[in-house]
Amino acid sequence: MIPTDPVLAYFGEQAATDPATLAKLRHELGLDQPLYLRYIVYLQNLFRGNLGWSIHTSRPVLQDLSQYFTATLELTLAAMAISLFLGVPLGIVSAIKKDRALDHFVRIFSLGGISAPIFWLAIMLQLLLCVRLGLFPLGGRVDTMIALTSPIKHITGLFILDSLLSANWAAFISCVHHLMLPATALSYRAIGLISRISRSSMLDVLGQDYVRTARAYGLPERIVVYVYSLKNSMISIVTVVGLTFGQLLQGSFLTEAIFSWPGMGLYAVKSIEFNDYMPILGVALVATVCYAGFNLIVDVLYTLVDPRIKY
Amino acid sequence: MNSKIVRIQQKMAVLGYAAHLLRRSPLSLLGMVIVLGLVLIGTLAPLIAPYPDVPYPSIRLNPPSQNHIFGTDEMGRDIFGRIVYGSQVSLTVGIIVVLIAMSVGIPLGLTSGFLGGKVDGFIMRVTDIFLSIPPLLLAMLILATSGPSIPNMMAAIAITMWPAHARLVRGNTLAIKEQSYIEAARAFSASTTRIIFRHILPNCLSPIIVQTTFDVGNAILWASALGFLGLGARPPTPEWGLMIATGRIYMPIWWWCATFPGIAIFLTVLGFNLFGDGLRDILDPRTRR
Amino acid sequence: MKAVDGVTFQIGKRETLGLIGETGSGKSVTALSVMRLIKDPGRIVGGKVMFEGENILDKDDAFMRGIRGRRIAMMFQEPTTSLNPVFTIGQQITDITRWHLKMTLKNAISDAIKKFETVGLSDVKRRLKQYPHELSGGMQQRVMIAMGISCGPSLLIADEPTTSLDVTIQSQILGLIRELRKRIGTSILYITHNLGVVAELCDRVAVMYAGKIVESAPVMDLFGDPRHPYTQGLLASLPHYSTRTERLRTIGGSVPDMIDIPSGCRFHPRCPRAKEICIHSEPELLQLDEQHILACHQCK
Repeated sequence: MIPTDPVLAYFGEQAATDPATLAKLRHELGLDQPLYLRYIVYLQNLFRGNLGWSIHTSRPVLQDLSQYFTATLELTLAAMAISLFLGVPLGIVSAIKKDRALDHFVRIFSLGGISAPIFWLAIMLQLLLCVRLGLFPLGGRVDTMIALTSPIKHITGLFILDSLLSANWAAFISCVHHLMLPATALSYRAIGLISRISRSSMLDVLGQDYVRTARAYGLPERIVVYVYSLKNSMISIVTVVGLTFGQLLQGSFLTEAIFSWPGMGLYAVKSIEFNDYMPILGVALVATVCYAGFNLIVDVLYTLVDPRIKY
Repeated sequence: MNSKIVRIQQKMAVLGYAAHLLRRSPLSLLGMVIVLGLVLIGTLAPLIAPYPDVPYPSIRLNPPSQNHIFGTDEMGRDIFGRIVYGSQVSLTVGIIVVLIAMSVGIPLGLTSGFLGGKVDGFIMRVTDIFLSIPPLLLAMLILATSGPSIPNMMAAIAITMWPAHARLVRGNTLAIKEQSYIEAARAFSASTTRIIFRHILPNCLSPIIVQTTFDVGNAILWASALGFLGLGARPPTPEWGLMIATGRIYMPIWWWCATFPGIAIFLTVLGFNLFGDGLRDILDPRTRR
Repeated sequence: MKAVDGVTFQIGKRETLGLIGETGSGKSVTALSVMRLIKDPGRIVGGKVMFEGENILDKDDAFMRGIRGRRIAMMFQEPTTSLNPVFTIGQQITDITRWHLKMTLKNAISDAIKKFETVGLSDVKRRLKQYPHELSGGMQQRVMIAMGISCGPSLLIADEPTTSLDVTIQSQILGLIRELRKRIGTSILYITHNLGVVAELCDRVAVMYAGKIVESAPVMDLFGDPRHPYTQGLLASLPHYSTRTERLRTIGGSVPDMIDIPSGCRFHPRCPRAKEICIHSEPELLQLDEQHILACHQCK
């Protein structure tokens, strides 16, 4: 199954010298069972809330995940907010002012977003803004000194929200400062995708017959564009929002490691390094469930936006 | 005979129009240049790389200089040369992945659209399952179980890409199937294969070509991401993502190790995206932006 | 490439002018030009559009917006795509009346109810909240008519309003238009390729070919005594129940591509009466007698 034997990985080279011990350890870990049995065992455990054991943290996977999940959630939500608030308007304005300077700029900017590898972008941003210019901290969610002097009360696990709710301003500022760069790096690709699709959808709508009708009835341009056409574009844009979430989730695997952001992405990356099987499965499970859940929300949003769809 | 000449004339007209559109969009032209350039570099790699891809311990971690325009890495290898060799890896991966995805996706899409009914339903469920997992995650899972290597990586990425092709072809097939000229062909008892090859496929061709171009770029992007995570190419393969992963350790002082491979990935994917945009403008005037 | 080159016609008060032509003759472009709705990359390059004594080609955008929908209203061919799918039909018609006539929402709604009843929609109060896709083609076209007359325009431009409907609905809509015309007294520019409709509805007819008007006359004169070879060809190709056993007559050849117009008279390649002069010089529109205008070298 796994190329490097997890037993060897865990117990080290010493175990390899004695085949008998090796066999015994394997049996204890249940690794000598055929795959389908192990799969069934996994599912059974799943129902009991047992996601397995993480070798490199020496803790149950479930416990690890519950700790790391909120960190990733915070990062992803922040990136999502940035992508939406930047991406959608950029795309729409780009469509309205087609072929003018702004349009060209946005198109090139978005193209860069979907072409640049996220992990490399993160490294470059870190190099430039953290090391060379010293504008942002290198990593982590909050300054260690502040974490010690005014620790954040654990309410939701989202540091920014928690520090805000408990009026812990020092921590709040530090958290925001630490969140900005990772969220920006993570969101660039999503901004590219969202603005391209918003632009495309808006252009499509602006060419439709019903827009011509609205103009033929003398309605002012700003209503034709910002009230009528916008609502029609919303359908595609909602689709994109759903897709974006998946992209951001994936992106977190590539960004967290670089900013030492203690989330699921970093957890998964470390697990890969250690050939730790169970955490990877656990992370994949949680990620898929989140993705599916989010898509469900998107589907519901559809019914609100497009009157032609009924459930 | 006359109709043959007319058809050739029409094709020339189309090419002329395509060239005209390309000229009007310098960015698409740039994309095409980059893609062609990449192919050129990839094929001529051994001739272009100034040094072979072997360790030279005495010149480890040298900054960019006249001898080594991108510097040397932690094993003393010329980074520029490694990037050139890496283009071979990336190109191969990109092309093979897309070929696999197409050869699985297109027939399935055709079957699904053409036969309809239960077959269609079944195939669509399967694509739904694959589309319900974020692609990188899926690839990670596959590679975590099957072991990191380039062939496995190619299979994994291809697995994430075929559903899109299947859906595309299925959509086109369904649309064309309903059109009256298919009924007309049937009235002349044209065989099923003839209908597929002469009517349905040519109409699917344009979107497939555009999708494929974007896919090659994306395949290279994901391959580098997997390489970065350690799930793709293994050392000492000069894969760009892998180079960034190892180079990252030497940041920020020996910054050139991680920077230049990233620029290579960026430019390559950018080229394919620009080219894909341009192709889409040419092949499907309705979506011209 | 000029889609329309040299079109002149007049519509009097309460008059219905039919504009006939095949697909590609430039009829729709003419209509859009009157409303100045031609979009990039197309442009109006010359001429005048006189509306109620003023040349509206000289006016600014604000003026045009005031005219569109209010004094000149246009109805389109495909009601399904011409109505916005994400807004209710009530919203769409009240937006027009509230903007142009500055009605309050309440007044606009009751006015909309009256208009919808006028055009023959049933169960109007419920319909106001419906979306276009919930209505049939015929009903959608009635909605478009209601929107068209909502501000009491002096000119109604109807661009093939019944082409996409089936024949029974077609006759209903035509009847509706006739009735409304009597009641409201608008002038109508009725664009179509259907000669039968023209005969039923119009006072005068103009025939377009390849971007130009070739003949224009009161409807009885045109049908009784067509002069231009193209008009003659069109009328001859109508199936007539007394010629049941003969083959249907057609006009040989096909409509020219506007990128590649024939020299001289544009109809000459297909004209049975074409002579030398027709190949070289374009015929001017001349006044044949009081109402009849013609552009042909061979017919004097």
